[in-house]
Amino acid sequence: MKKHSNVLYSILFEIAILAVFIVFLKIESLILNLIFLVVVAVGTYLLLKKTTIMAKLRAGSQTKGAVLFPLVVLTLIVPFFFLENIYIVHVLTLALIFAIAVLGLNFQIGSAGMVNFAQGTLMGIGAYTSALLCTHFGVSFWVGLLAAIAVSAFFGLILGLPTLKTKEYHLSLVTIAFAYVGYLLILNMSWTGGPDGIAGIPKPKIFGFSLVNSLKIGGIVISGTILYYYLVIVFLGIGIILARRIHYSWLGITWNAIRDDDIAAQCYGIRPTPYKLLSFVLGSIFAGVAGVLYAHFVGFISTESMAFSIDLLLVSMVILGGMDNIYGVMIGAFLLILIPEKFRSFEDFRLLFYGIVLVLMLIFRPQGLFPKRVRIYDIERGKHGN
Amino acid sequence: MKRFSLKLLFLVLFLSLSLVVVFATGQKEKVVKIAFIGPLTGPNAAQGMGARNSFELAIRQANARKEFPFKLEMLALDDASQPSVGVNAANKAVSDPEVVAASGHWNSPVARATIPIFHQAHMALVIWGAIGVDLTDKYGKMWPEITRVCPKLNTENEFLANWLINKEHYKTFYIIHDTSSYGKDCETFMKAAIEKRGGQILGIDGVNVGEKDFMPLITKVKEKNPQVLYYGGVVTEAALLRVQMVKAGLTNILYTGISGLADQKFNEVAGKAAEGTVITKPGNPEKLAGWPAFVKAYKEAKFHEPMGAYGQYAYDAANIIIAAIKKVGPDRAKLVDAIRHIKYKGLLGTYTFDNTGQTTLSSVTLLVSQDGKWVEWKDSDYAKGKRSLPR
Amino acid sequence: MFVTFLMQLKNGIMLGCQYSLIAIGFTLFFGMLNVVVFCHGDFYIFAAFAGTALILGLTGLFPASVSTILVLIGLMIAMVLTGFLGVIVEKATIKPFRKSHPVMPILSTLAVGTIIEQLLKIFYPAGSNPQMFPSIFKQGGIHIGAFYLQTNEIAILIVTAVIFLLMYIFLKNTKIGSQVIAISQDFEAASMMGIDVDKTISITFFIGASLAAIAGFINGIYFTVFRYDMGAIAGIKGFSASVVGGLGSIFGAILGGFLMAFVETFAAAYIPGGSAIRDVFSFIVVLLFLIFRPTGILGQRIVEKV
Repeated sequence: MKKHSNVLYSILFEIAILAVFIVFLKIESLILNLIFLVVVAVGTYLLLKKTTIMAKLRAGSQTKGAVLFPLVVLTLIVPFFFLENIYIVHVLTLALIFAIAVLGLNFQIGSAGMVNFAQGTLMGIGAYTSALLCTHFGVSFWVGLLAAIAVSAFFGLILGLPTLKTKEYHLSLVTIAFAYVGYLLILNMSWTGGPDGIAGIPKPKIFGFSLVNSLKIGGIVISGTILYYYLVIVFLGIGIILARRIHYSWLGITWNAIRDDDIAAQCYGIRPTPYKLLSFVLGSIFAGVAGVLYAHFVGFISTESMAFSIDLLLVSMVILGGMDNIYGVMIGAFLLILIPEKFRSFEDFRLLFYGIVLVLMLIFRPQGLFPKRVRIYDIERGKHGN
Repeated sequence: MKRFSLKLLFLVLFLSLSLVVVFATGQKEKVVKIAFIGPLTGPNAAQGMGARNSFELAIRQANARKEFPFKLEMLALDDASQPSVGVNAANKAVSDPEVVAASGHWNSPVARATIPIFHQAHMALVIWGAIGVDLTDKYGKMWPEITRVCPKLNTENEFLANWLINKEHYKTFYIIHDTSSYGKDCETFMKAAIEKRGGQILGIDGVNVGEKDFMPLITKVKEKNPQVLYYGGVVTEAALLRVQMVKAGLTNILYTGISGLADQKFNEVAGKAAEGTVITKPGNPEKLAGWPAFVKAYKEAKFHEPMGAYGQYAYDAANIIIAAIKKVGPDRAKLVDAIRHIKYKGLLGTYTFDNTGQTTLSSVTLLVSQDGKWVEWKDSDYAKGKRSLPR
Repeated sequence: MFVTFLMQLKNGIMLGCQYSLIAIGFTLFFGMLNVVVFCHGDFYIFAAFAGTALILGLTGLFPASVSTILVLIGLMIAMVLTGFLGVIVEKATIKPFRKSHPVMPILSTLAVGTIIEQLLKIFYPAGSNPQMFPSIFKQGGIHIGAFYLQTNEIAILIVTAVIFLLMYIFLKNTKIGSQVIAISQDFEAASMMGIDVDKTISITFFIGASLAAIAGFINGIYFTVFRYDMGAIAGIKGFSASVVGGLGSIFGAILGGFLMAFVETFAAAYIPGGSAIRDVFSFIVVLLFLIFRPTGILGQRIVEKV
């Protein structure tokens, strides 16, 4: 009986979070938004202190699928609360796309301990690959996606090579140089559309149905935006599964070993080179996929979308959310996309906001909102978890 | 178990209260919105705000005339001169069911990014300030949603080249342009316009927007020694280049450009070095009847920013949309057609749109920077012979 | 042709003076604390704003006075302010991370840099617009045949040379200078020898930031116009210059600064279409050094002890 009540508790908690989330998005007035945010923050803080509730939640989450299943269901129904204001779904989809890129960045920063300032550039490379192929050669979204995966992996490798010989600050500088060179080259080459970028990128077609159109199911119009939301969720889901598998595999552990003490790891017989390169290649593939999804969603790509501020934004998301924590970095992505969007009229203050958040996080909580949890290895049941 | 239900109760109460608050504050009456998109922030904010204010003036006047059974509202959205922000704004406009038409953009790249969005949504976009040639030549030709009230880029360049070569007899030129599409277009069309009239181009160079070190290029220009230096691009770099070239001693070269420089910021940033710069700007409404009334109304509305070079176009764009609404009502699809085929008498004359959506009106004014202000050429000391241009 | 080449060389030297001054700061900070202070470029642009505001303010308050003295006072105050900004940034965002993972100060200084530039943009009147640096030197210069040297360029050369000389004397001949060198050789040993480490670090940051301030004034004098977002790229270039020259070596920083400046200037001057991608060339140089000679031209090989 107790087990069931705990599970129920978790489910109710998730519904509560969803409700808070939806209310926050619906509020138009700025002041109400601020007040609401403060209330939620205070409430969350108080809640975390209540150990009895946290214990019940933790107990509930042990049951397989108890957390996951309702979460998936809830995520799927979110768009239906915003049928009259599709723009919010638009922003949510963008947040999800960035969540994919951030998962990839987490491989380098969180797991392997290498700060990569070029993730935005890799997103751009993926985006441009697909955009160019689709607009100039008329190939489908799916072909463009595959091509983008190949191209981003390749450039991820190129980015990774110089980092092998370098240490922390040098490594970051290499990624910064890569980011600027990439940005400038794409900006100045005529076949990439230059500063105008590439417009008119077509929406994907799924079994012949183009996401430009809306779907009519029993009187409800599901716009293309909502359909795209679901498409991104599918990709994000695949990304999460991949990331989790990697995290709990030899690869993830090896990365952590290299991050914690490079030389000790070598004494254990680990050759850092292939693992470091792999983190760049895999992370870049995630970035490339995110870039493609972005380009086909907005319909337009230009070098602005891969400016250094985007690279900085992605790094901030990892820091804010929690390094090496898959769910943490995704939440970081959501927060850093949604909150500034709500304060659009404070557009001028947006970068200032990012900078302050980053500094505060680093000083007071450098592990992030949701730091990595200690690995628990259950020898008896052969289970490996957190 | 007791603790369980208490906490839960509290949570549910809090949430329902929030939902009530949220839904209670959403009362609305019948409103018809027209979207205005332009650079309200960023380097071209002066142009954007001036146009926005003029647009708003037109709507206020229409509401005051009580022509419609509903209230007209402007939905002002910022594109920050950046295509991605513009795309966001366009998405916002088309997803709002109360918006029936839109007018947008000062920067052509932004327009290129948003045009497909308006076309897909079947919403009219009346361009008030972007002068890229392909916006109508290519897109307006394909898609009826796109119309433009201001002249195209090449009109200004042709006019300028004609004045420089045929009227003022300058022969040798150097072109520096920025690598944005606006800058590149300026270079392409000015080059063609100069060569068509027998002028000689001694060199062409590109710079990135944001560049501040023009010295290597200035040294290059000095070596080639042209009579005229044309800058194709926008205000900040144009002013920087001018300041540095004057400092380096190149005061005997005439500095010129088109409407990208037609911003008071040029004079502010370049200071004394701005003196004697000659540019063009589109439009010449001062001759026409409605102009004094417009100027008066703008002043009385007490806007913070001056109307800028494009306020007149935004005003006419707004009124064209309003006139179309009067004809066919607040219906997106019908407005597309009505705007395309309209005949409207505005500040700048009687508008009709050709088969590419481009206005058939075009006039260009020549300006010179005199004592820190842009003065119309014909009114200036230069035209009267009191001051002379560099030769 | 030859005269043009000399003029381009001069252009390169002018740019190099700025990059070197910024690079020296980076190298000082890195040599001492093994940190890369990414907001150094923002000290540079802060100084340009501060200098402008002070000069305009002072000449506005005392219109009848001799402007040269007012200008000097204004610049001095601006330099000191920037120095203090450097000290504050160190205490707030670098000191807390002395024992942490090296990525922390990289991120915190990047963030602080963003904050500084955004604060300037938002709170300085018309901060998002380009600003004009007050003109200090009379318009004009020397003509040697077709070669033209502006008055302000002469001033820049003299000032930079003097600064380089002063830095050399400071490090070799003063007590604090030797303390700086001691700390950069071995932090713990230096503190055990009785050196007040915190104080010396503060002094170093003050000096480094002041050097950036001077670079900022040079930028204002030479290019006249500056904007709040020019700090970041200047910082990155300065950092690259110090890496190319060899982190930890002052002379290397100077070399690196001039090397990057020459690459950019000559790319803009002599490669067709080069002026649009001039930065690409200097970054490629940086990448080449990072891959093939990460210690830079004059850096020492760092042996990592386990």
